[in-house]
Amino acid sequence: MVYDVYMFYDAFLKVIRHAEKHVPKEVLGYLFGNRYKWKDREYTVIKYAFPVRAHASEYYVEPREGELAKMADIAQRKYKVKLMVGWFHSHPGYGCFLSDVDLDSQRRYFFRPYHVALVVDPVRREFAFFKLKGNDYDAVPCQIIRKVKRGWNIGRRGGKS
Amino acid sequence: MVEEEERAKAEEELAEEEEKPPLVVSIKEEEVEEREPPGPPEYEVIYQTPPDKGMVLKYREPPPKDVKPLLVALIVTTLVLPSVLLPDLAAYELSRVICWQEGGFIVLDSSRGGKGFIDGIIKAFTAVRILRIDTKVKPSWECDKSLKVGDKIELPVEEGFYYLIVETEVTYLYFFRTKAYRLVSVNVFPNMRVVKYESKG
Repeated sequence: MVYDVYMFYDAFLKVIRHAEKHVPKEVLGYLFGNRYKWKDREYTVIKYAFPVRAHASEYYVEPREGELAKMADIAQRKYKVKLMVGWFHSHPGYGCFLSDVDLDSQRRYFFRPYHVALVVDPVRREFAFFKLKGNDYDAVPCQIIRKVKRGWNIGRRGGKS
Repeated sequence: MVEEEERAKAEEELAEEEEKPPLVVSIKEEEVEEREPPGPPEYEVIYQTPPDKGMVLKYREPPPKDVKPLLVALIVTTLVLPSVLLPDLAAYELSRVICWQEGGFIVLDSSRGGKGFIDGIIKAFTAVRILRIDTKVKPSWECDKSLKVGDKIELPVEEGFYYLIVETEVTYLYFFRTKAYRLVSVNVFPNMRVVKYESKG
């Protein structure tokens, strides 16, 4: 079973914390990771989220000049990820969807099949991933995942004495 | 004449250019790596939509930020760094110990100066006690190890050049202690109140 999008929980937390911190203003950022295929189905893995400084109001957000280049540089140099797989922004209090402006941005800059848009509503505490579908867009199946931490299992070793 | 020839040549070249098919640049798509999607048992799922349908999902209140890095930073700044830095602080304190002769006695005076920036971070108390007094001319002499700062010590000699091996103990955060050993040389002259001192740490 292959979902369209897998996002690491740490990156997801970064997005929602950033969005909640800036309520009622919108926030914006970029998503980095990679794309893979499995059984002839392509999927996107989001490993990192980078919020950017933006000009923002309750209904408007736009990255400041040079922020995208800066984020891409950080992603490449610090985290060794080269692929920008999408972007995220928030809709504080008015739900998760792509507005006409959002859709236009998606068509202009994130038109590849693996590109996603994550929209978060930090007031309603909702989120959704979207991808372009023809001239329109659609929500896509997703999983937020976290690597399982392995413990020492001291008590189990050796069985009963 | 030459100009006409050049013009004709340029026109020919232009016509040839127009006849040429448009340059097609093929961009080779990077090959997509084949990899199994992340899932159990290595990964646990926190939120998910149905596998065949995207939808808006609710999320729970995000947990407070992980305090582990903060704890580590706190431990390093309060426990590890002082244990490295404070022996030097103790040496500094020791250099302020004033020794003088009072009828055959040496008084170690705790004139605790302390550097402001250290005091600002950690409440430190320095205890200095003499472990041993060595002299070049006399055999080593060991005084009572329970002596504390301010205690009077009867000297085994009236005047001379002594090495005081002192133990400095620094207590920080009221219960963590570090110890360091310093060698202090003292010149004792019978008619001088304040004697020269120096510390070798």
